[in-house]
Amino acid sequence: MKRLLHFLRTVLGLIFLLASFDKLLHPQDFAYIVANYRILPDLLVNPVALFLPWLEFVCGLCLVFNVFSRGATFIITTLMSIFLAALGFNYIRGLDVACGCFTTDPSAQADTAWTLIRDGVIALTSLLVFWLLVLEQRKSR
Amino acid sequence: MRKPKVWRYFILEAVALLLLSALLGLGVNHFRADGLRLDGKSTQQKSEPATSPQITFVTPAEAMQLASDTEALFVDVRDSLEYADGHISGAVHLPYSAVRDNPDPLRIILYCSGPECTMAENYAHHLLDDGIQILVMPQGISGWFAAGGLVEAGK
Repeated sequence: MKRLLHFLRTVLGLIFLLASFDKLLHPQDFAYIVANYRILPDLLVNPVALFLPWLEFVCGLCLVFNVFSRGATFIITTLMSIFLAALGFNYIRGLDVACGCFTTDPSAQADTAWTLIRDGVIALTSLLVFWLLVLEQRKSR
Repeated sequence: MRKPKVWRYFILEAVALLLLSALLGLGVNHFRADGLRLDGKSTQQKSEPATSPQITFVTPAEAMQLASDTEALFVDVRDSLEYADGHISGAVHLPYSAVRDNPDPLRIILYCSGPECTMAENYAHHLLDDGIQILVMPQGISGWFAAGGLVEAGK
């Protein structure tokens, strides 16, 4: 169980580190993508575009090095639910927005259904890590 | 009463990470040359590097082929009378006399049905990424007509 947790935590951390790099380097491009989701008011687009990649980066680092991993998993599970909701919302609305998940290139318009499945798997993984950490925490008390 | 204590670690750590990320984001943005504005003002113009545009010359036949194979927009640069006399079907009238002394760049304004439609913005990104190619047809409307191209008259 411990091994599984360790493995999943590291993989999840690496995924989030990988996802954050391009967004950290190109905040303006990421802001376009955030705006394109048409969910946030204009005032919040830039702050969110600045904050999210750093949050992903910090949480990814924490998961890989097992520092504050409880908080990081908590955040990542919450983030994944929000991402899934936003993507799903736009999918139902029929807006084919660039996902902005791993790249800020708006022309990388992967089809949303596939993105939903991929993000769903990541969300489930983070939920599993979260649950394992809660169990571990309970046991240690 | 064990539950709240288990959750406390998760929430405290999460708050610490949120604060750290916010500080990092704001700090790095402050020192970046191309930082984002946080006052709600739009920074929606992309600074594209100034490149010297290449003009490509085409014959009427090539222009016809391009217009049928790809998306192309014909611009008639002559004065109103000549335009009204006859122009390429679907050509837009933007006379050179109006552009010559005007320092403003030519603006292409894209739109679709309403705020819920993002096609125009996606189109703009597409244009910015793939660029706009400007072609010149030296033979003009007479060459076009001689090559059997469609012409329409009127305003």
